[in-house]
Amino acid sequence: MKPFIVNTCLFIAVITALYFFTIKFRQPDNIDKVKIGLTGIDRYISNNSRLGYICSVNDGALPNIANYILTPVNLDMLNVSALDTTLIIVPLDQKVLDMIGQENILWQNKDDRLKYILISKH
Amino acid sequence: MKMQRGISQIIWLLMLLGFISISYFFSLLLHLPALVTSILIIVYGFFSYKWTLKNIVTETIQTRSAKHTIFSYIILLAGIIIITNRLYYFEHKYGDWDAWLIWNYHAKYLAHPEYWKQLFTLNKISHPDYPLFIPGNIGFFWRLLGTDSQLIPFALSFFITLIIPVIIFLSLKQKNLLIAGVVLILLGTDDFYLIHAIAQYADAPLALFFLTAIISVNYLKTNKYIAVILGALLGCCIWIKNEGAMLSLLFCLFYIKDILVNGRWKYFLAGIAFPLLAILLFKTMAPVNNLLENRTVPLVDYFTDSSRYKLIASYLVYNLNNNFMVTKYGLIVYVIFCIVNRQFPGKDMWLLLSCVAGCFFVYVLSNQGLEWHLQTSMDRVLLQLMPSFVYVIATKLSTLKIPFLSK
Repeated sequence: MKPFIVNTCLFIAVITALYFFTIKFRQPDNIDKVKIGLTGIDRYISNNSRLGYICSVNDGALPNIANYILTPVNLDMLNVSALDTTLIIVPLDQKVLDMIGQENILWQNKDDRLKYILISKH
Repeated sequence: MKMQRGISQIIWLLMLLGFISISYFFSLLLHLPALVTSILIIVYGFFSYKWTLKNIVTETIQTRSAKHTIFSYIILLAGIIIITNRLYYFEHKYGDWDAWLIWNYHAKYLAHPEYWKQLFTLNKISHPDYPLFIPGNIGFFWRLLGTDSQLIPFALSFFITLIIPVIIFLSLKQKNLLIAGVVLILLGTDDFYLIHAIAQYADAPLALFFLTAIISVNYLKTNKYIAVILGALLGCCIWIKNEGAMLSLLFCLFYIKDILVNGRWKYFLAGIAFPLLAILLFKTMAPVNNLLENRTVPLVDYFTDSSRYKLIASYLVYNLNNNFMVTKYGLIVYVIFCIVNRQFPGKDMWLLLSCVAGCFFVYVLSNQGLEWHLQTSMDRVLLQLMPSFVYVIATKLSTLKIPFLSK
């Protein structure tokens, strides 16, 4: 087998595989959806800060997904009350104002399923 | 005795990955710019490649017929195409749960030199004590490229998933092309292997480095430079996952004589020193592993509790029957082969069985809920050893003579 033919076949195979994997990579999954939902929040929080976290959605992965997307911001899922700034994620149909009272809304966004709200207590 | 070029090049790539993660860890400690680290890596890559070609690779000698070469080339290409095709359907962009909860999550901290030490303050659920081979590689490229693209962890995971069957094939094809081809196709169509290896976890990299150490040790007696590679590979095993420490220790115990004699220990030390230094530094900074803390029940009680042994054994059998069919039937054939030929299992097989026994006792002493611990990790722990088992079994079977393919 001539090396030229082998190398050309290999090149075509690699390009074809890359093409199909790239197409698959462009399809959004659950993490991408949360990532889109949290778009723009970075202007209101600084890296290395800790956020309180409230979530009324029955999805065990959601806090960790939000945490992964926001890193190196750290979501504090255990000690919300001690933190000034809190991220709230709730279903679209849930009334949020009752939950957050008079606190300041720094930023908010929504997708087809969830509302994302960043509040400050001061 | 020197190695084939293909295997040596894979080993060089593995050592380069080890060097990238370790040098990046040191550069974070020393506050070096990414550019300096990159230059160091390029210099290391260049000289280590030349060193590998000079000291490790065999001279090009045509030992097989042209037909054999063409056949082996076609089988290898077919295997790569099968694996790539199946991985297309199994891969998830962000990997499985632990990929973004642990490994890629740690990488995000490492990609930010100003915040990377926050990694050590994370909650125990994020396992900040886990070694930095994967996060170091991903973090380095994320920082270098200025993006946290998932393509980087995916590419690393894809490379490792593909290379495991390929390196087994390459190391067997000179001995027995049929066995090499069968192993390549069996691993390439093993859904459990492919799904777990492409999950962007650390189990497949550990499996690859340990397997490569087992392949390399065959050349140790005739080439002292292999001791450098062996040291680096075993050091990287510890740098990949905490379990790697046990595997490396058992490996050294089994091959201590081969490593120490004829001044080979100096070469071995040269190989393992760099990763070992990184691990020691890392462990002084990281919190204690959650398996070692909060122990309320005395160890003796765990040792003497027969129900724990039964439960672990039942999970072991379950995994062998459901997830590791190739290994199970391979082991049966291996035993039959040994009986028929009146041979004892080789040292490599005893090493792997000792590793399984070691894992077994880690579970016996686990202070986590045992059933939960077994459910969540035993399949992955066995995956770390599975490629080595397949290689050892296939090497034994490759002594079978098949006239047509032995030409």
